[in-house]
Amino acid sequence: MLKKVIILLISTALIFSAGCWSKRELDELAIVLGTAIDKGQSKEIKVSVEVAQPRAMGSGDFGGGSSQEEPVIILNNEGITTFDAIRGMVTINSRKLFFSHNQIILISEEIAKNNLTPVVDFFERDPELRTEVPITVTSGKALELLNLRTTMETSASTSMQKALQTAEKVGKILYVQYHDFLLKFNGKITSPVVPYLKITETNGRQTFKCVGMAVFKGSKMVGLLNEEETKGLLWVLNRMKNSTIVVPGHKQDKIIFEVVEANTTLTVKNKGGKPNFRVNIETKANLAETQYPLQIMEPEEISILEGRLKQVITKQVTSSLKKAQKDYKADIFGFGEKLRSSEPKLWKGVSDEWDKIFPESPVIISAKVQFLHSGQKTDPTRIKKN
Amino acid sequence: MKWFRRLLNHIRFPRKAKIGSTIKKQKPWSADLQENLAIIKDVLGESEDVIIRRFKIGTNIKDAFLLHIDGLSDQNFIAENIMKPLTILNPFPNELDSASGLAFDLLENTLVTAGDIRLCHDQQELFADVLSGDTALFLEGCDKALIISTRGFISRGVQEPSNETVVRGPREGFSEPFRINTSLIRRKITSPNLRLKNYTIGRETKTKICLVYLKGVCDEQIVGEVEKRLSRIDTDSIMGAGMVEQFINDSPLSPFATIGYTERPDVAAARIMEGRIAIIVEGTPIVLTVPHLFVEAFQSVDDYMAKPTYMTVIRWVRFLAFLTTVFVPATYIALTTFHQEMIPTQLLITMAAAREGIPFPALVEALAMGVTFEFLREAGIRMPRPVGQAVSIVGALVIGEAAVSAGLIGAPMVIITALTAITSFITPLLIDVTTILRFSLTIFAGIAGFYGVMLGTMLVLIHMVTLRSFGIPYMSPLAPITFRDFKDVFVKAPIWAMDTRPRVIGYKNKRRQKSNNMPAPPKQGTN
Repeated sequence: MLKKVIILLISTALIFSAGCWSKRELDELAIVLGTAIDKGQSKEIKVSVEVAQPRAMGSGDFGGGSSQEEPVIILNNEGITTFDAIRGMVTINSRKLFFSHNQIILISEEIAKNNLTPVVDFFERDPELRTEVPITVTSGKALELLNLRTTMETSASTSMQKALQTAEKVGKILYVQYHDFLLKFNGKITSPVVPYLKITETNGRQTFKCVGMAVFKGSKMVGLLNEEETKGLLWVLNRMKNSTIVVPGHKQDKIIFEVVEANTTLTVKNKGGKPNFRVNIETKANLAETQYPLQIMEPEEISILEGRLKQVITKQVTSSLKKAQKDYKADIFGFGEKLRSSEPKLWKGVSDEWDKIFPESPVIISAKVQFLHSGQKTDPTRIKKN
Repeated sequence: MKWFRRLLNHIRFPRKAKIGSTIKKQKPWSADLQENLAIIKDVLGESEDVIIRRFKIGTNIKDAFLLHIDGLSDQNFIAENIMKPLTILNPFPNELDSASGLAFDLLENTLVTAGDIRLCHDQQELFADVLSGDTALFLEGCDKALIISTRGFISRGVQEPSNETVVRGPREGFSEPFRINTSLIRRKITSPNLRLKNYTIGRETKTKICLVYLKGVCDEQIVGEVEKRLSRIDTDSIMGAGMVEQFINDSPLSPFATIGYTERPDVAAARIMEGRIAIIVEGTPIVLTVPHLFVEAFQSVDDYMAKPTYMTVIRWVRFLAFLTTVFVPATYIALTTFHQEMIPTQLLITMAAAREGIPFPALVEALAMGVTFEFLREAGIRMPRPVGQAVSIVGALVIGEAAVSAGLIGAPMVIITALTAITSFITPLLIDVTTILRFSLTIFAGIAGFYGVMLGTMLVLIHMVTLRSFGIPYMSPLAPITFRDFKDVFVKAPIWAMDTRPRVIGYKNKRRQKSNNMPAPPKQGTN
């Protein structure tokens, strides 16, 4: 009998000693949707968070709140570190911040250009934060982007996160999740790139716009890639999806192709103690739009078009290579990583001075383009070939 | 702890009941009619329904009397088959004048035209028979009586079962009279191998209990075990099958039922055909079946009557319903109070919006709604029929509309309570278990989140696999695993494919039908 009681007590103790004693009711949480980090005025760091206001944001009639309320509220606080600033927010807000549903991390250019190392640690160390969220650098104050009121979504953070995701699907930018960023940031071989956002105006309304990618070298942001250079980066990284490629036609006419399939292989060869890289791009494209009366059924015309497509793709890759090698001297393509895995002996020799060797390494670009479909029609619309 | 120890002691050291029997043991009848009458008066008392019909037979007038109970015996039958041939139609009035023994033989062999008769020397036996509706015939100068089966009392007859309804199955259900129930099974299985073994349990109630099984299919060892357990029952009264069930249960303190029951003869017959034993208890329209397995709760008559493809889907719906009714409130509590990161953002915000301004913690909310539903359910069962509408209106208003609009309960909790309520009725055999599990898992979830839910689930699973029903593992064919029997668990195989009986039960006689039974068009040339 006594034994049974002891067993019962021990198993009861097991339940209570499991460390799961962190009960939090839903109405005790401030659900953070986005985090922005700026340079503080009185202290080092100013953290701003966008917090959901469930009463106004949740659908259904049972909330009891009025629809006049703002669906989100922005809180900000300054501190000597990120965590210090976040902890300080309990003094200005009734509920504890809950970061598991954070959608985006915005870092102001000012902080990024100075030094990112002291900022990123908290986002990596705290178990409540997800590392699959995108990280971005903002032109100007990051807080201002959180303050935007977008039309489609109730929260600016959700809006930006979704926009970035969609933009990658059409080959405009690279969607960089925080753990990807950290991998490169901590790995020290490949330089991380993150989307660069700024505020712009559309139809009299302020909105965000992704204008390219911010390039980091070491722990500092060194510059930007524009839209064309970003496409070049996507080709090399094998992350190109449904992008569009503009091919010049006759005079001012333009022909636009849509990439449906792209496959890039990166190879490296040891040529006399120096790495030689080769980027092989194989892609398939559909005709999306033409202003020029193409005779799409004729094989010669197709091979001419394929040749032009090849030129454009090569140009995109070259421009981004030039920017990375000559201007920023930052290996954003993962060439070093490739060299390390396929030519480890050579890598041992060059790893110490990779920063110097990368800008000098020759890269051969070859593209192979296959034309697939012409859309719903073959003949040009009402245009006669001159 | 004292009460717990007392309970354990009670289980370990059974005490004998002290109530004595009013009938004297093994006492023969007297040859004197008056003396016998006195004994009867003494034993049965002055009860109003005891009928003693005195009459005289033969030319030289011999005294005789009939003893029967009004309401239990068939009055017309007695008049036609006993009284008439003995008095008006008696063709041998003179022979009856001979010695009493010879006269009694004449009564027994020739005069009484009733079918089922036998001699009785013992008082106790006679009273038991008379009190079940038989008639006893006493003759002057004989120290024995003739028992004539005249049972015939009013019963509600065979009606459609109210609890186990089916779409395509037969409509008849068991009734209270013992004989009707055995005949209902006999009518389904006309095999000479169908065996009926009778027992009488209950010192005062003398309740008849009958084991029905199919010889050659059923394991005689299990029959022996059931008999052994029945013989151990020492009580003064059995009021229904449920009481017998509790006396012969394998694990009496477990919430899981290791004895099945049905109110449908077709179900009982189907289970007998699988090698199970049916236990019919007099006065109960419910027949017990053993051994009973967990998976039986998910089977229904319609499964075997309707298309197997659809019924496979329905099987899964039932499993899903069982999991829903047990786990959904616990999962909701665990998610919203411990693991908010696991809820999709938009859903979390919607849930948070519904919880805004709710004064109670989610656990209290869940328990309150759960208890309210149990109130309503119990009221629905116990209430007198005419007030039904009042209960449903008040219930719907309280549980649904008012609680939410008053801001006492969040709308998601109402949805969850409704969901668990509906799904709990899909497996009615498990309704007691699901209720207990739901509440305990909800409390576990409220204390320790998913860790608690997993802990509780493990405890329940461990308990379930240790259960046995008359030697058969309760969780079979899931544990121990028997893939062949999955044809009636996770899928519903077509009837022509169910060629073997369930392995764990029908192992004495595995094959049910030939294995290539799939209907096919005739081969060419055989027309």
